[in-house]
Amino acid sequence: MNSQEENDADKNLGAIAIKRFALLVVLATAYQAMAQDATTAYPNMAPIEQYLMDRTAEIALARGAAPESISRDAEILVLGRHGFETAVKGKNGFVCIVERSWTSAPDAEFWNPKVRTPICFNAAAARSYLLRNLKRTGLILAGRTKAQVDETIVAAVDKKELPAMEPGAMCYMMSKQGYGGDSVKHWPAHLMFFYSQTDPATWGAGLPDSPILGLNDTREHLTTFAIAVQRWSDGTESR
Amino acid sequence: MMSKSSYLTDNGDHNGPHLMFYETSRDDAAWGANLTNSPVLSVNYWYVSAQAYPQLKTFPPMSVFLVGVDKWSDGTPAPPM
Repeated sequence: MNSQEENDADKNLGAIAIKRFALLVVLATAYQAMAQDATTAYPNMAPIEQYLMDRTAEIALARGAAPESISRDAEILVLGRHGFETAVKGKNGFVCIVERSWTSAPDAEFWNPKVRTPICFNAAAARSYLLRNLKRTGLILAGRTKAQVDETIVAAVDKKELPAMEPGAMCYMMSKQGYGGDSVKHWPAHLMFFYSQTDPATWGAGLPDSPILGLNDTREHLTTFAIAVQRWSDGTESR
Repeated sequence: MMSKSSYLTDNGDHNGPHLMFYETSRDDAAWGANLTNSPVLSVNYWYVSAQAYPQLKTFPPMSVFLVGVDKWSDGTPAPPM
């Protein structure tokens, strides 16, 4: 390699490294922002119609969270006026949905009606983590405030009305589509793993050059680990 | 396993940074592993076939799930797996 080629190679490596760093920052920012209070352009719930989608489009968007080899046999839930409803029965244990702002956006965008985040849970996560999101959604659509919902969910976890995370609970978030919110419009392709209250340090999460992000929700006794992956659900490179 | 210096396979570039998860099950489908475009691979922890080695049938079930990551341990980008 001559000096010009070395120079070009260095520039390319540098550009790729910066881009990957940016992706991890986006992922970290998205998850950390979810726990932060902030002023908001969305102080109240919008009319329910703004959160609903065409059923066929919602099914397709939900399936895009995981490779077709997984999502084609997954159960699909779509949002109705009172909560998520089964639109397609599954046969492999996975459950795919399109989350709305109240379960997937930063606090400042808690009521942002444009948010659409496709996600496919494996069976262990569907039996544990997903139940929290379904309950939260039902309470929201019944007119509860964010504070009331948070209080109800925490109480249900403490009383074990909502189960602890099952071993092996995880999900896919590898869709090219969707809308994460005004601050983080699209999330990088990633997997998430759900654990009941675990020290992120036990996974080496959040350390320099670690590929793992760890987030603790002490009120819900929930720890979530996120790992960026290299491809979108259709197999194309995500960088 | 994110070292640049490993030699994991005779195939391809011989190496690839990845994380490994150990689960007490033998259900590849639980994580959607080994399916087209899935970023998750799964192997039996005991590696060899229980059919070829019947004594392994008495071993406790254990799977290893592998998830490829996009950089080496020094933070430099790795080629897509």
